[in-house]
Amino acid sequence: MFQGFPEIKEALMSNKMQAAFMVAPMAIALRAQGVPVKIVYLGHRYGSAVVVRSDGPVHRVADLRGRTIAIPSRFSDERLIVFRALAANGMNAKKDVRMVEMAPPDVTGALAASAIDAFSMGEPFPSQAEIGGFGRVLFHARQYWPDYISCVLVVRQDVIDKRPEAVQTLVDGIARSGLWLDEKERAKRHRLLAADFVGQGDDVAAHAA
Amino acid sequence: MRRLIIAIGAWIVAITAAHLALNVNWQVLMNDRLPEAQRKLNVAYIPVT
Repeated sequence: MFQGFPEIKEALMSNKMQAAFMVAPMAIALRAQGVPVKIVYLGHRYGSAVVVRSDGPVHRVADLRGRTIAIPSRFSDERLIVFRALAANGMNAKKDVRMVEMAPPDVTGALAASAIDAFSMGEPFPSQAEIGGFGRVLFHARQYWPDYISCVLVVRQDVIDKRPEAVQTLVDGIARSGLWLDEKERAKRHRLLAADFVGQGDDVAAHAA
Repeated sequence: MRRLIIAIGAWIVAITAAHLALNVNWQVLMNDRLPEAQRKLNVAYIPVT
């Protein structure tokens, strides 16, 4: 388990990791920079949101003008969501707001301490902020980006070439885990198990679901 | 004096054993020693959707 996307990128490039879940624009950027990787599986949809302080002055997108917004990486869908939302409201992301890169686990603390005015991040951090009472979802990714996809599974090309069966097993396993999570009869129990796997509490998992 | 040396030695052995058990990821070390075709793939992720 890593705490930030830049570290994942380095681990993948150095072959410490052979595969990685990462934000889609970062995978595209890696490929564009000549790093031999390939996207082999698309991740989830709609898990991201822009969150502001619950007692703050931001109540609509236009109120973000002049504010500081944390994003996981400049190569992230969460940054592009902010671009889209601001453009839809007649604003320019480069001129009207200040975006800072921050490791995902740090954003809730930064918002609680008013070090930032908002963050654009995937779950469970929007739920953490709302349950903590200091954050409020301003908008969800799907409101400005239908069919939004955040993370993708990236595999090194040499691994694909040498061990295609292992990569197929990995992809099949991830696909099956998605179906397992969606089993209606045991969905709640499965979500809690998954929450434990990523170190989150039951309340956060239930809220995020 | 002899008892003191034995006690210090036992303490060092215990701390070393605890360190090896708690801080060394033996699964990763063993995996890295396997032939490439038999190694488990290392998959990176962060706890965020």
